[in-house]
Amino acid sequence: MIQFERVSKQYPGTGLALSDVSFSLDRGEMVFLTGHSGAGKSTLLKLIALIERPTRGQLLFDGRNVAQLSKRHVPHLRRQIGVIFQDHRLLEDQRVFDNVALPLVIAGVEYREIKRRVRAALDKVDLLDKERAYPPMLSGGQQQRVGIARAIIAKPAVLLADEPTGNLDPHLSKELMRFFVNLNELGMTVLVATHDVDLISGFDKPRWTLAQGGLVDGQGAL
Amino acid sequence: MGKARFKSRPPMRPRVSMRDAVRAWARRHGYSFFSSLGEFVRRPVASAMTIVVLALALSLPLLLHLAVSQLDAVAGDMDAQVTLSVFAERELSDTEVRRLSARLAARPDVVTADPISPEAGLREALNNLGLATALEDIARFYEDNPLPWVVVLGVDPQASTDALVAQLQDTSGIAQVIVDQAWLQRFRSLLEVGQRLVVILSTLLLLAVVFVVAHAIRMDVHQRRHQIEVMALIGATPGFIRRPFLYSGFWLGTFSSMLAIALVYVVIGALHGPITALADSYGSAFELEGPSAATMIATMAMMGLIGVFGSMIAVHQHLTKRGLN
Repeated sequence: MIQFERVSKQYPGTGLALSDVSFSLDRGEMVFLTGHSGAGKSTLLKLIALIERPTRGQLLFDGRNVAQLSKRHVPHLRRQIGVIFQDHRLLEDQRVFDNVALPLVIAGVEYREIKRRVRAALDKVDLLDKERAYPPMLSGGQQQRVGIARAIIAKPAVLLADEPTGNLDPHLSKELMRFFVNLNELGMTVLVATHDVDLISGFDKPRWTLAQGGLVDGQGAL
Repeated sequence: MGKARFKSRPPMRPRVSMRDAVRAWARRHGYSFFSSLGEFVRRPVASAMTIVVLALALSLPLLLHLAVSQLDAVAGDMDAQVTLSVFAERELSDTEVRRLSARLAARPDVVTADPISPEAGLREALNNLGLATALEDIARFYEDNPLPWVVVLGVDPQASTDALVAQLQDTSGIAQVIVDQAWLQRFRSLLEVGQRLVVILSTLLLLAVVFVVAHAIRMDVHQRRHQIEVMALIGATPGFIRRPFLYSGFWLGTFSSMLAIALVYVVIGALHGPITALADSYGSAFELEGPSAATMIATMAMMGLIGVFGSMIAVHQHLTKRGLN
């Protein structure tokens, strides 16, 4: 599904954020990406969603090299990827319903269908009673779940989560990870970046570790 | 960018039928349409202020245009009706002048002949000068009225004025013939200045409108930069991000032109009395009318387009700066 071949990323004026990273994430697979903060986890996720472009190397999405994909086509790539951001990235002046509906609106889905699917997604994250609320009225954990509902509503092939448990207590964190495992069991390819090694130790999923911009261990690493 | 442009079907776009694609496109447009209107409702004060500024700026050239085009129509009517002032020789008696007047009236190329006695002429002249009360004094001062008899002729529009004038000048008993067209020509030159002024003012104004709209939309974009970024992150195309702003520009232009038209009607209402009085004094039934339906539609359409153009500038600049374009 996603394949990195000797990918490096250098931000202007700083050292290498990623150097010579190669891996292959297969369709239907779920992987935890760990490492200290600054190890390059966020950069790696941003490269997959083409929020950043690799400085060197090949980035294959579904067998196509998208490293130099023209800007015109980037939006269509992003629609196949659900991203959960550490800081939620919700629209604070729009209701929970509209936030979750956004990917479907962008795709031009019919309103009745949008309504049905938003309800279903909110039900999944247990926020059905909050659809008319504005994000600032919700707790951090609830906002995170709104972000999750938005990320999965368009049924993306891949789900990327960047430190999704950053603001949650251990109990909620565990629950959230179980939720991701559930999605994966339903066929979604999932890549979760987290620094919380203890949290993921209870899950039987491959773990890749980034250190100083390089992938240092993990079965999936090439 | 653009090293690896895909000539054929974009690699990431899912295959959908034409019908579904068109429907999705229409739904996205519908969303942009309503969300742009929603923005107006959400921030009524800011939108209203921009609209009022635009309307005030627009009403001035619109009024001037109305005045000039309608006066132009009046001038056109006057063109058809040439009048000649025929000055009788001073030796002629009153009866002789009346006989001359009757003879002139009988000509086929003369429509009306209106003899004006020296007394009536003097009274009218003094009236026009606002000196009506001085009549007695002046009559005493000039023992003889200095004015001759005048016959005012209305000329048939079909006939040749020049030929008529030439024949009249050879007629005995007539001292002088004056074609009352000089003031009309002056009036027409004035109208031309007015028309030019409308063009210049409109051009300047339209430029101002572009920048006012661009500025308003720029603020709007700035306020929603976070939203723009999020939308781009979850797969919105630049076109989709741009569209609500273009609609907003369109609304700014259209709504402000509607308000401007309303303002013009208010001004016309306020001017109605004085203008009628002024027109009366010239013996004209001229009345300043509101803009025609065609003018209103053209104004709204043009302002709408200019609004879109102004907002295009603002959004394009922002998206390019953010690398989203």
